Amino acid sequence: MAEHSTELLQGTLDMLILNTLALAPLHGVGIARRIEQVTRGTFSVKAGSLFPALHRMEEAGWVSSDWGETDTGRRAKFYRLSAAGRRQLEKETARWGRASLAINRALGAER
Amino acid sequence: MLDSVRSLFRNLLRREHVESELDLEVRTSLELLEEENMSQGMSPEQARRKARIDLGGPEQVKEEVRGARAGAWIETIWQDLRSGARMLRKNPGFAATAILTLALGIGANTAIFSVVRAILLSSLPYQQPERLVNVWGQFTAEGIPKNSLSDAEYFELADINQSFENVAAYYAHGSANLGSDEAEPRRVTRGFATWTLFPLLGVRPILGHAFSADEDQPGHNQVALISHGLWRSFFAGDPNVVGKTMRMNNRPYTVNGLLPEGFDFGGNNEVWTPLGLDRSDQANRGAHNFSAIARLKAGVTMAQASADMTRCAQQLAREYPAFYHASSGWGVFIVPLREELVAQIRPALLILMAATGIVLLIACANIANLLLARSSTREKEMAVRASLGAGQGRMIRQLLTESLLLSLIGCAVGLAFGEAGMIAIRGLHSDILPHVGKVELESNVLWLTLAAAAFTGLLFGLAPAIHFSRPPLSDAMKEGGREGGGGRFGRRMRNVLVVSEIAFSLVLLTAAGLTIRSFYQLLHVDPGFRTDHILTMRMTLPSVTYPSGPAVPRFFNQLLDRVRGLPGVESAGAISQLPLGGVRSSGSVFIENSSAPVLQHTPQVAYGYLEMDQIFATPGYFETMRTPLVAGRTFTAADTGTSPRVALIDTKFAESVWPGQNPLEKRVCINFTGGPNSLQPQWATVVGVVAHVRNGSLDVEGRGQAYFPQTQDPFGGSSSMFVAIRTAQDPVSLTNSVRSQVFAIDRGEPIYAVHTMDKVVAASIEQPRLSLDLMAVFAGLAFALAAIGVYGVIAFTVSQRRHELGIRVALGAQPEDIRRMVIGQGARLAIGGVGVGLAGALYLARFMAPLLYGVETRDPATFAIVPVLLIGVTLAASWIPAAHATQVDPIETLRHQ
Repeated sequence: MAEHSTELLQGTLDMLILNTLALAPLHGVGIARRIEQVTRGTFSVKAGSLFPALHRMEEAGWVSSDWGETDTGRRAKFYRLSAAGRRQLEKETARWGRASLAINRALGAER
Repeated sequence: MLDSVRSLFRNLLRREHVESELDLEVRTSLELLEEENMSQGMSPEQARRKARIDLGGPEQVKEEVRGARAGAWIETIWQDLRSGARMLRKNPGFAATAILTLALGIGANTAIFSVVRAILLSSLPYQQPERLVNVWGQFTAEGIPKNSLSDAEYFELADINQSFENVAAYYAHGSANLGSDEAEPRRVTRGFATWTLFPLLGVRPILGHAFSADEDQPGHNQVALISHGLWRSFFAGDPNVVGKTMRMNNRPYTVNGLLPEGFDFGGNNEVWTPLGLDRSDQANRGAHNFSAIARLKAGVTMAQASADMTRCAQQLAREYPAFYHASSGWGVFIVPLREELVAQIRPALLILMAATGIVLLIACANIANLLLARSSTREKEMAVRASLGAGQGRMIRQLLTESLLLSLIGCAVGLAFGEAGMIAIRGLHSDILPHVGKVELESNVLWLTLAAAAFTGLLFGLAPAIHFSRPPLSDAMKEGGREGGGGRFGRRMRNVLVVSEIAFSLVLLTAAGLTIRSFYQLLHVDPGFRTDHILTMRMTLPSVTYPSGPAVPRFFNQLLDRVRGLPGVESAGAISQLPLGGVRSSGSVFIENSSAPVLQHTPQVAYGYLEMDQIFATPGYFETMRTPLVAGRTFTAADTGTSPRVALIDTKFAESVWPGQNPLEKRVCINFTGGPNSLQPQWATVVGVVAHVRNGSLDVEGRGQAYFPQTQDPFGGSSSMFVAIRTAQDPVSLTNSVRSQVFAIDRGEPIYAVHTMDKVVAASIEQPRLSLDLMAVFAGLAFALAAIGVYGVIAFTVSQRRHELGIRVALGAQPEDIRRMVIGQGARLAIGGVGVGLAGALYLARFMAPLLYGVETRDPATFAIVPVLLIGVTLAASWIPAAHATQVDPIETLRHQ
């Protein structure tokens, strides 16, 4: 699994995080786990990238944070998607759709 | 956007809160990971370990988050600046050395570059100055490579040339007595010009109007343009000055207009009046009195104009073969105005600029050395920071901020030095440096300096930064405790820097050595007179009050008699051109019965002639100056206007015309009577021979000299005389009593150019002295910087090798061995530097040639002494660390590890 994990494309991490938070508020470790799960282990998110990204997005107003308790009763900082974040997610998803389509076409044409 | 701004403030203002929250978040995340791992069946120990590996080190994560925050860069720079300032404060010696070194280099460069810019590069304050050229004649075969023009030549060139839009003739070095009923009379500097000069330059008076063509006619030219300075001082800034009358040389002149402030064409003349040349006067074709300036027509190149001048010269030669015969080397040529103004000073300025550039290079090398040495001692600190999560970029940035901080402080101090230097330079007289008043710190110079400082900081901050953020941390940690010599890279770099410092300072010291030797030669030239205890002053009698004839000599005789009667006066005399006094007049001296090969010939006269200094003197002059009398007698009161004509000649004249013969009783002549077809020479008998005098400047031997009694002056040119007075006490103390003697004879007669002879001589060598002083300062700087550099490197090596030296001592090395080893390192550096420097100096010395007098550019003494001096100082600089090295206590150093 680990040997197949891929470096995230620039800009995709933000989109994946926003996408993850679109379902429910989550703490940092949870977000990393969820991304691993949904991409079936293709992307593993390092804490050294995840936390800076979360703080950056919080400063941009896309996510907000609160201290809360996990299922197991531990204190953790939970991140939640804001309205601005939701708009950003839509924008990025649309952009990604266009970009990946274009890339797939280009690669197909190569073949 | 608003969110970002809010975050920025939060991050910067509530940093503690933000930090503690970040810390908590990272800690809770670790705990969550641990819990997760335990739920998968790991032991608590395993779980904690895996969690730490997965998270990747809490400090690194935190640092990454800090880097992603809004305003992170502000905070980073602020941190770096503070840590940089802390570092500098902790090492005041290092900081002071580095800042002072940089400041000296930058200060010297700023000042010199400003001067060079003001003089060589600034544009002249005239319309399209690049199209202005000076026009000169020449008689190359008669030893006159550059000659003024006569009236007739000016008019003809103006008519027949095809290249000039406009031509003007001028004489810029006149002066006049400015009369006033209230104040003491004063002498003003005065220029004469044809009316075309001001339209040609494109300069308009700020009040009134320039000369008209009608005002430039003989008899109508009693109008004047006045300088801004004279307007303020003499007319008290009167706004209605135009139309007022001023009295010059006892003639009334109407003020036509006021020239703009700073107008300094041809020097700082206070008054300009029209030349009023007479077109029909063809008699004075041989009187070359005027400079000429022309404006090239649009589209005419210098080469085309030069060819046109050659054509004009040929046409003149065809029309007047008697004046411009083929053997004279007659020609006309042009020189661009800027070239004319700066040609003399340019070599000196460029060499000074090179010298300051070298000083800056040495300063940079020193700083680089200091930074390299210091960063290698900080290797361990850097390794610790890296292991605590500082990224490579961040570390490079910190080192760069530190060195930039250093260069900027150095730059600021340097600019202050530069400004001080410029104040000193502005105080110099404008005779030495043209446009010196315009020297100021310009923004271009400022930017250049800042760029130089930033570049230095970047270059020499970056080299160690890249180097020391690269090696594997574990190595640095291991090495950092003890050796930390900066590795082979650092060592080699430092050696290269020191070798180049020594080489550069050798080049500068050689230049300074040559300048000093040259100046010494200059000071020991025998000028042909004694300079001490002589007061000199100048007086010019206006022809209105003193028409030519006996009136002028009578005035001076009367004055000299009165002066000789003053207490403390030993002797007094007057002369038409004081040696080194700035006035030169020469002319043809015809020789009776001589066929010496040096003589020139002209078809109109049967006698050969030579161009000589023609000087008029009174009795007592040679005694006052102590110019040695070699044979015969000097002038006496018996040499009057009616007695037989007599002449004195100098030894150079005697040897060139009558080699091996007795010149006494030979006859010479400077003027003829009768018409052009029946010229009657007015012979004067040589009654004495005096020593040759350097009249123009100390470094030029000059022409032969012929002296005639003032009473027998056939031209009436000796109405302007220098009075020389030999005194028993300080000559300056006599100034006022002499002045009152002058006023007792003529209330309206000003005395001017009052100086001691010592001062006159000193002023004549002010420019070489300035070169010498600056050169010596720069060489001294370079010398000191190189010595500091050598000392720094050796001392650093010794401190780094304490451990090794301790072991050597423990194994039985004697102090001499240690000392030899350390000094040997210095010696190798010195020899390397001296070798490279000698090669450079030998090559570069040729550019010094225009500045040197009486010294070869490869002067053996200079080239022998300077390297020895440098090697000596290098060895001395390594002596101190060597002495430290021998005192290494083996027990202590070994225990220290």
